[in-house]
Amino acid sequence: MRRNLTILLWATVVLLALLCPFFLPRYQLYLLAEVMLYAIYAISYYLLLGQTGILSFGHAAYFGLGAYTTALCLIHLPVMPVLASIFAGSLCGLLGGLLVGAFLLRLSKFYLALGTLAFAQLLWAIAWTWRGLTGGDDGLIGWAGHKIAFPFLGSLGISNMLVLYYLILCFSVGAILLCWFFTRTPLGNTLACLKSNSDRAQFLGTNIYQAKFILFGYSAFIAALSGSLYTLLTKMVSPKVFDMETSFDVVVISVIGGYTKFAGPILGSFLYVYLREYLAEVTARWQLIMGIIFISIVLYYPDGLIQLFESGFKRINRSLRQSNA
Amino acid sequence: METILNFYPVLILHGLVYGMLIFLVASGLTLTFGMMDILNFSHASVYMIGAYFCYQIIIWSQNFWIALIIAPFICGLIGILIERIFIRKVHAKGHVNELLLTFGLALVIAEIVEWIYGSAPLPVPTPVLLQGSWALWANVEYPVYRIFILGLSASVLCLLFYLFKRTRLGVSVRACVQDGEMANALGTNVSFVYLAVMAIGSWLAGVGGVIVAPYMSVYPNMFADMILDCFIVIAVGGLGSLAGALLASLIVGQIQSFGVILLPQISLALTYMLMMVVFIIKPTGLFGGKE
Repeated sequence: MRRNLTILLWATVVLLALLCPFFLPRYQLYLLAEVMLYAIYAISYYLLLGQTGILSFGHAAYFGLGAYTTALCLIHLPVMPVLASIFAGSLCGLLGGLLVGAFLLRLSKFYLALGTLAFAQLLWAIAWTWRGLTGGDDGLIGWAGHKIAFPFLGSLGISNMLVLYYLILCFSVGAILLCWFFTRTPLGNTLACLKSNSDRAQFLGTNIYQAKFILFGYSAFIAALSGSLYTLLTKMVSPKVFDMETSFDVVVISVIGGYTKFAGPILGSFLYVYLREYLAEVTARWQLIMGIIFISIVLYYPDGLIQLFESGFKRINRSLRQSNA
Repeated sequence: METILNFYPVLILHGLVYGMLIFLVASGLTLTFGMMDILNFSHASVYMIGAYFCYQIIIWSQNFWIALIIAPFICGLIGILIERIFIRKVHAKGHVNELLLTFGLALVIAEIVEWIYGSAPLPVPTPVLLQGSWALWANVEYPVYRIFILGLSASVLCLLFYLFKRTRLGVSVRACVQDGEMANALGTNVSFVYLAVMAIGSWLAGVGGVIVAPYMSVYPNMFADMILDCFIVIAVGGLGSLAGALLASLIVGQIQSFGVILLPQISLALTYMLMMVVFIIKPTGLFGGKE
């Protein structure tokens, strides 16, 4: 019963997202696309923090790798299909994740967090100084004219908001499903086991380094995918994608939504984007309010706002079961 | 030969000054980490608050020395408040929550400072007594204020090591860094030691903030610059090790000072590279034995 209800809920959300373009203005579509983008990014972070209990302060490294690779592909290889560029971006993020994994995996908790931060800052410094490739702080632009060829619809320009919206929707549903299935695999269970007691997992004969290595690659792949889509959505890339703020955005999103539940980051990205947008209209100091919300959640709601939903959900479920019986 | 004599000593001095500044802030951070297992993000905010208090007190009183005495004390009080009001509350909920909390505090403090003082850098005048420069030797001059920074931080450093190695409190702190539970069982008032370390660490950060104000002016982003350098220092030196933090600060100071001149292309990345290299070679940092 509970399972069916959950599936029903998610199906409704996806259906609503599919129908949105018919009644929402363009600006709202942009925001929703951003929500989905952040959702992919935050879900990839959930695999690290929520599933495995690994704290990372440098998730922007993969996001930025995806964004820059896709941008460079679109600029320098115009013959390459857009979807292939997105894939190339994700692949580059995967390599970055494996690199980090190979070098930093054995570090303990806080050292690992600092190590990932250093990696992201290193990439930021490269993006900032290697002007020939990355354009330095001017960033990269110039792919608004690209088109994607679809089987039945013909080729459509990627600066068309509708095309972008559906593209990002497809990718986000795909990525979220991929992550969900990942948490259900034996490897996912192993990682959950690492979270509760990594010493014991090792005693039981698990190769924890191998498991974490794969996890780093997988999480980086998904994060880089969101970076690639970001390139398409914003139509420009600057070293900002690598900086600390981008790394910390995902932490804020995860905490607001709740980093211990799978649905938490998705709710978190929705809240984050809309709070940011509407607070910024009211006051220039929206980050202050966001910070206060963040602190109150850490202090009083450590499982995040998804907890409110879950308790409501349980209540509905219980009343349904009682009426059945 | 000319350049070697005139140029490099100045670079070394620059590096030394910056390294000592980082050490003032990083020492508190590394001690709180060693004891409480928290990476205290808000520590660099305290440093920034110190700098802004210095600016404010100089506006009110026109006197740098009053700022140098009062501002660090306020910073110490703020450190105590952070420990008592916030960190203590989530201590039972695990390290990740503590870390996230200090991170949130840092965000909020940075925003409040920017709200009050704006985002433009604010210049702080160098005290009259310390203006001008000294001739070190033939045609090499060095600003007096930087020599003052060097002297002050060196004396604070000596004081800190004396406190740490020779007093009752220092023994308790070292015991808590090594094994908090055992120290508690043997009758050390661990909660008081935490508080003392937070207060002293914040006082040190405040001193760093005050003396940096006339040297680099005050701006809201100084928090982010300092926290990154501090993280590099405590990671390279080994979390919880004071001597390691000192060595690492001096190395980072020299790298920053020489990097800009000798390798301007990659100067931004140099310290991060150092951190990655240390992590790969010795994952617990230069002086860190404890996981």
